[in-house]
Amino acid sequence: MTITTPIAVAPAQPAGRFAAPPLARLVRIELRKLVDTRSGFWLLVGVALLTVLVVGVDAITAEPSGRTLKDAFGIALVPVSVLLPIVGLLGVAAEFSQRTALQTFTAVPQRERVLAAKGLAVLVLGVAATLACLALAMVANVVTPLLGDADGSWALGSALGQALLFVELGMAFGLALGMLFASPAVAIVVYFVVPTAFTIAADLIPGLAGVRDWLDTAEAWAPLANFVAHGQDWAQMATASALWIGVPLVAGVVLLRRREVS
Amino acid sequence: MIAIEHLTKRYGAHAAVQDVSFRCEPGTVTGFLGPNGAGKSTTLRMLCGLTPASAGTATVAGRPFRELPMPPRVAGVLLDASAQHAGRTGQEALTLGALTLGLPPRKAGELLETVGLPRSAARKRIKQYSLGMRQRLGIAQALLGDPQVLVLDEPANGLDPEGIRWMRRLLRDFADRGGTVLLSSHLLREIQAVADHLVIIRGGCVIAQGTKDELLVGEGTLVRSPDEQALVAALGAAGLDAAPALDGGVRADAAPEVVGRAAAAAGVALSELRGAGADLEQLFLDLTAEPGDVPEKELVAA
Repeated sequence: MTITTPIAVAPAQPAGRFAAPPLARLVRIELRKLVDTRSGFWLLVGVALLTVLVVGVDAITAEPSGRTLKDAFGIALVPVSVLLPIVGLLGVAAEFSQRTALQTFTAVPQRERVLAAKGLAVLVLGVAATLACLALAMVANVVTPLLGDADGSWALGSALGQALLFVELGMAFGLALGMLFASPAVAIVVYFVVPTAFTIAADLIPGLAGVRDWLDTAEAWAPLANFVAHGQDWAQMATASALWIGVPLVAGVVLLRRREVS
Repeated sequence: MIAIEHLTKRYGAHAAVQDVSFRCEPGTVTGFLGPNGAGKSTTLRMLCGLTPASAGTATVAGRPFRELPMPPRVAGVLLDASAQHAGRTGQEALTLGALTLGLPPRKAGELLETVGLPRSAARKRIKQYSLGMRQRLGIAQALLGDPQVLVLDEPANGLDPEGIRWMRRLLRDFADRGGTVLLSSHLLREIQAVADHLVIIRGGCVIAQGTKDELLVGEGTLVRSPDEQALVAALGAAGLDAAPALDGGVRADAAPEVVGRAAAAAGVALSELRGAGADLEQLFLDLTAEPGDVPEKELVAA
């Protein structure tokens, strides 16, 4: 194990000679970090397998009228929209649980640039996953007519745009929680429990029923998931997103910029 | 190359680091010594911009660390070898570092060789690494950017004797080529073997600093006898300052000849007698010992 290669020390250079790494490079690195760990890799494989499974089952069990590209696309998005945000959440929170933040922030001490790169990487992953779902839905729409009666409509309308927004809102929510809590366990529990708890509370407490449409993501984001958002839906989407994404994201960034890393 | 001035960190009313000032110059290895909890790691984290300082400044190459555009090009940092993603391979962790600096991924392979991590080990997940392997990986990461400065917190932890000798040679060589090294340790022998400047810290305050030669003046002798009680008594009677050494035997602050004569005069048989110079361990204990303190328990003489 003992190899004594001489270490070359570069001649003293002015500290400013090297420019900070460009943002595009940091985004590529953060994307790579989402998939180069065992947990990140298997989480993505799991989401992919689950998506193929639900699309496959739906192709067999759906009513003929429900065998369309749009319906298959909607089904394919379910595992992605629920589970993929965990990847982004872990991308931030694991830096602290695995303590890699120590290296990340000594290599790039401009922390806001690292956080921006993480955000962009997660959004890129969201676009890629949505397009993969669309491709899978297309395959399903080719195959299902061979299995029996099928509508087989290829009409997509505004579904792709709404799907992208729906997936990215989820990704941003996971990312924001990862930043705010900087702990995978806490962030994951909050991700799954708190919005649902809010929905239940809104059901039980009469006074909350009025605000529910505006603040409950289950209500406000549902039109997007069904590709039918229109009119007032957009305003409700904005208010719910401000509460569930905007607030934790801003608080998380402020905390992480100052946070002691050890 | 490293300048720390009046650096202070307070947590509420408690000051973890208090008014610490020292400099590290190119071509030198500075040993940063102190018992556990003395504030070594907090000082190094403040230096590297990971912990905000309550007061004071720390600069590397004339700039605060967080204002360096690309710090790994200036200062290689290893603050905790265990701070690695357990599910990533060593090769991948090193490749990420190379990519951040805009270096080709093959640079990662070169460094694996430099630090003596076999390729087969580099392909394994870090979870399976021993602490010694993690130290080597951490050193490789610190060296990636061909820095002029190395900041290392307890780098000898977990290394076997072979590895410790390797690390010693690496740091000495780095400094001899004009690099600046700041390393903290509680392994006193390790620091004594490699450092030429010493900064000793206790309770968050610097209690001594200077070159090793300045701090370790005086003569010392290590002497052993089958009857150490009689030996200590004999040396005491001869007016010599003698006390049991940590790792056995008796240390006396006098030349070997003087000690030998004193023992002979008292008729005490010796089993060993050798000049030991002034000892860092003794200096450290003298400086850091306090009534009620038991720093010895935290010390490892390696």
